[in-house]
Amino acid sequence: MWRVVPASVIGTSHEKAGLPCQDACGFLRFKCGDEDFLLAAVADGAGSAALSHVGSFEAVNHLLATVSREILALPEITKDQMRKWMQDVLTHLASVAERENTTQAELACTLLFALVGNSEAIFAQIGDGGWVVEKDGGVIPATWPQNGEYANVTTFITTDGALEAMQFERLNGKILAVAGFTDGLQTLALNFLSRTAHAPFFKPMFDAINSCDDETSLIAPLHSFLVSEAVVFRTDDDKTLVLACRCETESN
Amino acid sequence: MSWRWRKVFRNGPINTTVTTKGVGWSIGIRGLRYGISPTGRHYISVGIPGLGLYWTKYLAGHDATKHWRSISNMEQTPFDAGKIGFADNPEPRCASLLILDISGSMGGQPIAELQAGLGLYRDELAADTLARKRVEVAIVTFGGAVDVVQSFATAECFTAPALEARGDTPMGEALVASLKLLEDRKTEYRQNGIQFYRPWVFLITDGGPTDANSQFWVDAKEKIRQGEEQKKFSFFAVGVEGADMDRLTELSPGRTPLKLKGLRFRDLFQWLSNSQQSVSQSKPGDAVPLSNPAAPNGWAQV
Repeated sequence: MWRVVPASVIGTSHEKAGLPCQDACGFLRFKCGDEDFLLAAVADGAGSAALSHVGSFEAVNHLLATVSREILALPEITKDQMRKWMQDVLTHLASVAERENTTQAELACTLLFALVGNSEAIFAQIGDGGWVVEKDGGVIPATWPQNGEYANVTTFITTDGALEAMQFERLNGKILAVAGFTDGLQTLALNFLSRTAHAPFFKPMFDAINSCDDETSLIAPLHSFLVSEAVVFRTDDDKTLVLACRCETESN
Repeated sequence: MSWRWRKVFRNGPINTTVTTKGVGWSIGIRGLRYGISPTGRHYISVGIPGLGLYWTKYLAGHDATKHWRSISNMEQTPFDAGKIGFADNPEPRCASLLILDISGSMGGQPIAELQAGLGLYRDELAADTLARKRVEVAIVTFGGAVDVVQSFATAECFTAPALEARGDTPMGEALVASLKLLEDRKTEYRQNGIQFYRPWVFLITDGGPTDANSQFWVDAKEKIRQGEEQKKFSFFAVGVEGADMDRLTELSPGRTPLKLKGLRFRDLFQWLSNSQQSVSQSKPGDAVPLSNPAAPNGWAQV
């Protein structure tokens, strides 16, 4: 089974501007035969889009619901299949836009997706932020932020050509831990020069989850960490971190 | 959780501590102790008995540290910012390239005002905590010859150069040299994993090119056209009184050249600094509203 500790917190700049937290995240765990699956999604609403907090929330929930309803064996989930699911999210956002009496562009958000099985995993991503995994004794990036040429530019699911630009990665082998995060954390969690994951960022957190008795007791501390002075000093943006560790010893 | 184990043996004022890392000892009274930790570091600890709050100073070694800690909270923070390491990425950069006409006609009041504007620009950038680390300025002058008087540097590291008016107006050559400088800087950013914002290129002149019949002028026009089209940079042309606005329009058909009102260089550089402060703090998806320089109270007219 997977132990999951998720948190989305509002950034100090958003707080000052009276904006809501535009990040969202969610996860599902299920068992299929002998296989434990983790399904997780993360989204970051565009700063300039008025209802992007609605967009990110709807995108995460719709994607998780769709994939869990139409679940396929991992090898059958191709990039094209993943695009179909992303397209489904877009269609849903169009109906949300109608409901909210706004345009789809006002719901702009990034969307990151992970599905991890026992010996195989897929990751998909539109926009910045990223996925990092612990595997074969190392902490490595599974996807990389799509920031285009410039630091303040990224792709949102509502951007033209977003589905074509979608990253899609398939990893083979056993993944011991996964972390998904939005761009508010990417400069703390990734080394841009070497294009590597910053293991000292993730390892202590994975260790804390592995060694705890009840991971739900870690949600509040993760929240506190993300709003702690040390973190806020480096990034005033909204921040999401979803941490998941495979728990071997549990008897169910 | 990995087990922590420690046992303290008290014998008068001397405490002996046995842990999995070794044996330490300390001497003192409640609230004030001197000792050697199990890992061999010497320390003094001053505390407020009853509150569980201790100030500890490690004395020896290059890693001598001092810190307050709260014993009662120590073991309860699974996500301790002290233990979680942050990646050390350089600040993203916003390149600002100023191409300044210092030809003979700029002599006197205009060049003095331009000089004052530059000084203000530096001070404004340096006063902004983020902009001073992120906005990098380079200055190329043309008057008689083309000179890179300041290669790309953050506001902390550059001083406004002293400008002296002289010679003719090799604008085309200055543009070609400047855009090459910018291209090289972007290559350096990429090679060093530095993220960056779309660069700004600012041309300020009070005349027309004296090299308009050269290949430089043809190349300059083409490079600016491509650069704007491929969003390699944003190009702004500013004409001071007497500038050949038709030539400037040739350079920048997409973005109408601006005409400086009088000698309001200071207002121009104030605007530039404000705009670059906004851009250098923007995040993906942010709309960065720039105030219209050609508004009635702005420094320019179209």
